Amino acid sequence: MVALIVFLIATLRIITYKSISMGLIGTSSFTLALTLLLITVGTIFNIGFFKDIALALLLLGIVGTIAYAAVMRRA
Amino acid sequence: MMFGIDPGIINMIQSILLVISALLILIAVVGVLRIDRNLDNVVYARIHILGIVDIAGIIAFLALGQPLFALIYLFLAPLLAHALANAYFHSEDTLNNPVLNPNLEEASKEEDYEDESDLINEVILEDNLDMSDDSSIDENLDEKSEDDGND
Repeated sequence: MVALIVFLIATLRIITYKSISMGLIGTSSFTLALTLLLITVGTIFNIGFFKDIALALLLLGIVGTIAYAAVMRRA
Repeated sequence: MMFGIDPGIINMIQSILLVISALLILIAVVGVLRIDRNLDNVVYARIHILGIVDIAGIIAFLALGQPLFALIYLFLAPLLAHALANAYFHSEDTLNNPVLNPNLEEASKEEDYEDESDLINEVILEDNLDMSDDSSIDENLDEKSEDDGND
């Protein structure tokens, strides 16, 4: 969990870089870290719906990032 | 008992996998934050480094007992990395993309011309310096001069 929190802070730092691409990269990494954190917390405290939230976050986050990257490539 | 294996051993394997993934994540964080931002192609380098985090995430998903997440991310992570690199190349990469930086294409053409002129100069120099073919000519000339002297 500590590594994940450190990684979340690092991804926030990546998001603040100037270019749009770095923002996208940071956002996708943030999504992954948050998903892992939700699953870890849900496993530790036995909270069932954290897993559903994590699954939605993982799928929608990655698909959204890929879609934005495709739009950015064509623009 | 899962698959006839003691739960204590499974817990230990899960803990080891989580520790490994945490170490990988920390190493990747240090790499991403310490890499020199003035380097050429640093965005691709960062995408490459974050690939380590992707694998660490898959290991952590498996260790936490979520194989569905691991499988989904295993398929989506390469797509994501490639889409990001592709988008960066076509929209912001002025160092490598000749569409965004027309000077790059001209510079590459000039380099080609320079290469061709260097090649021509090298061939000319080699022709001038290579005296091996001229020895027979010298011999013929000597014979001719001897013949002339006899006459």
